[in-house]
Amino acid sequence: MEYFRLRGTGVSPGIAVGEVLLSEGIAFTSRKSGINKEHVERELKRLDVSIHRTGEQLKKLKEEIGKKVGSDHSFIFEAHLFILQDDYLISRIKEIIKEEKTRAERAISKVFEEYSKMFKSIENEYFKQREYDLKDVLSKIYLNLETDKKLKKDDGKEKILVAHDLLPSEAASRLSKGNVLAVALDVGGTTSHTAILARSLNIPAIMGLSQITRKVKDGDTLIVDGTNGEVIINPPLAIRREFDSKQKKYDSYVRELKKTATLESKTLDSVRFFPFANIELPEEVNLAFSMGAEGVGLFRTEFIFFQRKVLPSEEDHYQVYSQVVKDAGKKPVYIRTVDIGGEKNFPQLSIEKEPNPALGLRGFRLSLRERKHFKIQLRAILRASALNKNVRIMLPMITDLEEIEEAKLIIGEIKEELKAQKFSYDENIPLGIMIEVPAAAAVSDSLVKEVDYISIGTNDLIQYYLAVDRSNELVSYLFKPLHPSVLRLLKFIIDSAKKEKKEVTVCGEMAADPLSALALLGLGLKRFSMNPIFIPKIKKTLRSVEYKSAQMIVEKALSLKTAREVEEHFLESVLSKHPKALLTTEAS
Amino acid sequence: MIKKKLVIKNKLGLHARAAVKFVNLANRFASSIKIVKDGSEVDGKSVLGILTLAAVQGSEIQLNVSGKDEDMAFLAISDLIDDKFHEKE
Repeated sequence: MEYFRLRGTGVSPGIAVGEVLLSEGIAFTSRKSGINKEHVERELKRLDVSIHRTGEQLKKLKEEIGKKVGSDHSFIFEAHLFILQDDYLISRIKEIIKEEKTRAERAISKVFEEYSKMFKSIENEYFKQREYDLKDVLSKIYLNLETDKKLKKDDGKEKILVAHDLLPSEAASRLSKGNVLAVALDVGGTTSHTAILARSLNIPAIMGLSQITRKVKDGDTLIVDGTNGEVIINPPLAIRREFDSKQKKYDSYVRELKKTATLESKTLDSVRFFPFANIELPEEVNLAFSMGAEGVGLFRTEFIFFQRKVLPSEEDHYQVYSQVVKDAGKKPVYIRTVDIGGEKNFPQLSIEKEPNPALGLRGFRLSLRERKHFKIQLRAILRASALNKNVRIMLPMITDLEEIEEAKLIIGEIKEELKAQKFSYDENIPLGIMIEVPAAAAVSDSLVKEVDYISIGTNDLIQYYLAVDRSNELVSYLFKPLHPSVLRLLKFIIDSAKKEKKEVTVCGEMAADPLSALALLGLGLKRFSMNPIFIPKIKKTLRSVEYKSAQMIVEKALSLKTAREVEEHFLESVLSKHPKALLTTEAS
Repeated sequence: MIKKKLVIKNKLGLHARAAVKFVNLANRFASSIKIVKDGSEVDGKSVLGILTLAAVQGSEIQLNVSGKDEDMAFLAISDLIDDKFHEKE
């Protein structure tokens, strides 16, 4: 078996070694297996039986997915049913069987090649992509030609899933089965639904491998290095050994982190802190808790919009929120109202292209303009708050006091409406804002009086404050969370909240970086919200220091002049006092 | 036989959902319904055929309808196209 390597984008870290399981779509054959004249009838019959079987499966899928995730997602199966009933398609397959006296397998493959050429010549991306719908249907027919083929595929053995792409519903059902060691896809990227799911389930994944589905076959051995974005196909023994030991190292690192997850969240001098999770899929809640999260510090709601071709209804929202809220039990869930705009555009709202989206109509600003949709979302959040009384509303991109007053008016109206319609909700549902605009940070002492809590979105806040776009390679070196100016600003915000005895959380990446988390602790922060996979690491760091010493270290840092000085001072003093605090070596 | 040119007006063009509606409607008539675009002809009762036309918003297509109920069929289909396949935009 040929040995080679492919590069893609690592979207979920970790290493897995295993056998390939090619997802159905690519089972076609180019082998011409001729048959006798008298067997033509038999092949036609096989084809008919298989088409019937496929139709039944599609109907069932349509019904199941419709029930589980809504009719928007089940439409795909309806379209597939139509393709299955396409007379042109089916009679062309039969024609090939008759004319070429070949098995149905080959006829299906040939028809796919014919259509594939047509689709490939299309320029429009949407129509070009429909080739995969056809592929999906044809491969289902192909697989159904043999009754036991399905069984062989679904033997439940742990394998590496290789596919062109996975539909959201498909990703959820396949990855949650527990027998997928890793995922390698032709297309996709870090923000795709499958990537998010893989990360949350701790399954190494690489996407954007362009043609891996054409280059590997069932039974090939793969190494998937999700940390480095590399796939190694049929590795020689020496390379396999090298990765086996890397994998062991990584696994023990993860195991140790998970152990940390169950320990108490207290510093050496017994000061209690709270690790929270930033998530965006209901499926992530349980994983987040298994990593030690003590609440959902940021539930992003954009995916509810991005998953659909049309704007979500109140029920769409409610289904998602109620699941998260129920899974969270008594733990708090901070639901952030939709933060669309900026770089995250949404075609259905036909937002005009802005010259400077980061400074444009985004977050709460957009919600105020699209008041109808904002109210739909708030109604669903309020209704979900009745279930466990653990919901908090969080508003993104707030700049000034009047926006908070406006939001309160709207929430008040909705409460009245709900009351009149006999819906229940949490009368005391806490309302909070994100502090991510520097102006809001500067007046956080007055804003915090108007709300129940504040949450500092350090990613945007620091970008705006330092006037640095992190994704711009020319200036990204200036993005310094430990810049003395940033520390002073954070100190002001955290002190403002403390003065009013209000809760304050950080929900940016700073909370997930050990050194920065220590700085935040020293500034008096107790609530750290981050991607759940970082929780054990941060917990380990915070558990191995004294709150008091962190305070002292930060106090000195506030008087330093540059980010480098701050960093050096931190490393030096933390390491001399608590040598274990930064020992969270990441396996590579 | 009725031959007439029409313009696809809905934002998404003859995408999967619209193609399904098209075929659904076409199947109710006995007439043969063909769509011609840029010189290629496909059957109006084939979802796949319609998708391969890649008819985006603003495309001009020609409908060739022939059969006993061609008047009814043409009317129904041109209504569907003019009504943007019941889509909002």
